[in-house]
Amino acid sequence: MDAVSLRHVIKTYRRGRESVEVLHRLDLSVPEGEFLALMGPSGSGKTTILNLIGGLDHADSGEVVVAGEHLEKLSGGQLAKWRARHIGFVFQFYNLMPMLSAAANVELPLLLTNLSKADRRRHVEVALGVVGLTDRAAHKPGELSGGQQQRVGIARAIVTDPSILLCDEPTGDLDRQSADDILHLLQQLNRQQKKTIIMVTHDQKAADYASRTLHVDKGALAERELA
Amino acid sequence: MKYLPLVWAAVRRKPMRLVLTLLSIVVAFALFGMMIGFRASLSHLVDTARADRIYVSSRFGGGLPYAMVDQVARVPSVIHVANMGGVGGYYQNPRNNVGIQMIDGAMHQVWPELPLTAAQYGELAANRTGAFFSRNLAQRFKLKKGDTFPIKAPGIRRADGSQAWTFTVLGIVPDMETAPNGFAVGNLTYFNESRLPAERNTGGFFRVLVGDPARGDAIAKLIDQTFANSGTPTNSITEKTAYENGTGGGNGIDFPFIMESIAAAGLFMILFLTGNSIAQSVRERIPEFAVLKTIGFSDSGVMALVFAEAAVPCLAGAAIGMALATWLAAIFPRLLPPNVGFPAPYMSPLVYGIALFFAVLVALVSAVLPATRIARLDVATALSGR
Repeated sequence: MDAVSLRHVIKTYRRGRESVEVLHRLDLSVPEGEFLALMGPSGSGKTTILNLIGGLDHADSGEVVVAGEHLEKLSGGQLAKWRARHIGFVFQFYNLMPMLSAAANVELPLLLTNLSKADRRRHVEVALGVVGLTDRAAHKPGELSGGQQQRVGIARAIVTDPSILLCDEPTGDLDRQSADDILHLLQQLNRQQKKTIIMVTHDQKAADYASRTLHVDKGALAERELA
Repeated sequence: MKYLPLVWAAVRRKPMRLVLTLLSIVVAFALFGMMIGFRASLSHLVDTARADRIYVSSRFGGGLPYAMVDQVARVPSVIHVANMGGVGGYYQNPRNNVGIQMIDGAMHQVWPELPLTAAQYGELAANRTGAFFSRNLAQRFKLKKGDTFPIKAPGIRRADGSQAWTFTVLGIVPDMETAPNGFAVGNLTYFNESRLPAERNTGGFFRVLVGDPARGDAIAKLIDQTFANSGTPTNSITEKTAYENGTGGGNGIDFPFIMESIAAAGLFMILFLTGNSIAQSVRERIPEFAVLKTIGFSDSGVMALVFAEAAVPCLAGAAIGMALATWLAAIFPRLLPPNVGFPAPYMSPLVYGIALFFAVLVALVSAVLPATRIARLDVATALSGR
């Protein structure tokens, strides 16, 4: 079964008076449990695809079905609830709250649930354990390395146990060693916890960790090679 | 409660900004509290002032002949007439201004709010140089029962040629809220008989009690009409009208308006300040709000966070500011120059309620624009840094 299905999706942005069609009747299917890498030059539409899948943006036409839900039919509030339940986001620049500890950052998505404080704490411990940062729970982001911050970002993304992880250049701000660690972690999450992962990257080495790589160019997809 | 760490983290992100904002709100609410306290105090005075008590003084100054007491008492509807004078001077040092109201026995009926018992009135009548002091005044001059209290009163000519008035402290009585600095009352006979013979039985100021409060103003007018063609025309006014005039536009000074204006200026000041502060804080954290919305926070959820962020300094500042205002109100009588009878701020529960209402209102109004901006935030655009 497909975790993500995009059919005939058109997306146009307006830049001043000019309309730029970023996605041209794009079709994409991502089966459950797949680790997909989206590559392509800047402005090709990779992040737009990710935003459409995450319900952060709307397609002008076409169908976007993610985790069994037709996103074009959901209101803003319904999309927010749906995102909280089904999607975990990992950002290039981690986007952690600098004043909160690692544990408090990871706890953020859980604030939207009805879990008790003790249960939230337990979930946070598990998530930090998965990314190997249990001993850094009390540290603020500024006290952590880039790789560690991204691990906290991943812990935040998986703490609600979403079925899909959307990663936008997750290693774009890391050195090679830290990048490999993060990619290895994502691969583990895909293989052991069966998370569907869609990762946007410029880095071929990062894409090598994925089970499939698609190239986006001028709003269209091209499958180059299979892992 | 579970969002509190998130709100608190946002509030204390810029400690210096927080401290300065908080200090400004504290000062503004201390001022606001004092002003609405004063306003409440003046309203309270008007509310408690009596319409059945008339102040009768000489229209052209100099006081009234004591013989007029009986004549005023014969005016229809008048029940009691009390006479009084005053010894104003200083104790030991010209900076220690003090005034003693010299009263007669009828004051017990006319002015029952004066906290003297019938026995104390009797004691006062029996002791020519005796005087009762209220607690605040007694504390100011460190007086106790039996002490001698000499006053130098250069404005009053005594028969013996001196300026010294010597009183014996008969006792200490409670204070009245209309005289926050304290008061003292002495025996009118002592005042009258000590003056130059030519000035005796003159210079009176009457307090008149009438039977029907609804007719107080009419009777005041009747008293003035009665003496209009006499050698000492009167100027009569009910206590309530006097307070209303004195606190609501009389004497060319509209104290309530001034106080309301100062309070409003303080509120506007903190409105702009907190509005600017919260707008700046939100502007700096657009990507963070975008992340919150990305992970599932609703538009109303992030708006609530912005409101809460504005409410924390507003409510904390208002609480500290009102505590400061309460303390200032308590020490206010001591800050006034002696014998200035301006009432202290009346810090009633309503005053605290008004302050709380405006603290919440300021938080809401100052946060409404930044919160709306965050609610309308295009997450995809914000995350891309555009």
